[in-house]
Amino acid sequence: MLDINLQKPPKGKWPTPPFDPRFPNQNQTRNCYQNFLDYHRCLKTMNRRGKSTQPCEYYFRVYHSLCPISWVQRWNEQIRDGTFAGKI
Amino acid sequence: MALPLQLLNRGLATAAKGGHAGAGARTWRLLSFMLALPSVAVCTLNSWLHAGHKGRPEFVPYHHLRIRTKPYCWGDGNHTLFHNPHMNPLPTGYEHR
Repeated sequence: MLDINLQKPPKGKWPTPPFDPRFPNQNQTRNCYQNFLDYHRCLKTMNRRGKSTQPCEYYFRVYHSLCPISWVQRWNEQIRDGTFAGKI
Repeated sequence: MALPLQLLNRGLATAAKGGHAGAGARTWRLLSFMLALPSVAVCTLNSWLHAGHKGRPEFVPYHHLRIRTKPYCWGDGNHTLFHNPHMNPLPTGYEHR
C-alpha cells in the first residue's frame, strides 16, 4: 500500500477521528471496517481515473486510528492473496 | 374459547379458500386433494425443471468459509457429513472432479 510516512499528518493536527453519526454507539467495529473499505475503494476509483489519491488519506487516517493493527495486517494479507471477503 | 378459534380459522382458511365449512372431515379431504396435492405436484415439476448439472463456482480460499477449528469426529475429520465431491470444496480446494 502507500507509504505510511506520506500519510502521517503534520504533528498536532490529527488528534482523533471526528464523531461519525453513522456509528454513534460504543461498538466501533463497523466504523473501522467501513473506513478500511472506503479507503481501498477510494484508491481503486482514483487510480482508475488517473487522479491523485490524496483525498483518500482521510479514510486511511481514520481506520489507522480506530482499527487494531492485527486486523489491518490480516486484511492486507487477504487482499494480497485475493481472499478478502469485502467488496472493493 | 370459541371466539379465539373462530379468529384463527379466519386467519388460516380465508387466505387460501373463500369457503367457511367448519372443521369437518369433508373440508380437510377437499383441502388435501384440491390444494395440498396439486401444490406438491407443482413444486415437484419446478424441481425437475431446475435439475441438471450446473457449473460449480470457482474456488477462492476465503477465511470465513470451510472453517476447521477442530476436526470432525467422523471420517478423516475434514469432510462435512453430506459432503458432495462435485459441488463442495475442502478448505484447500475441490477434490479433482
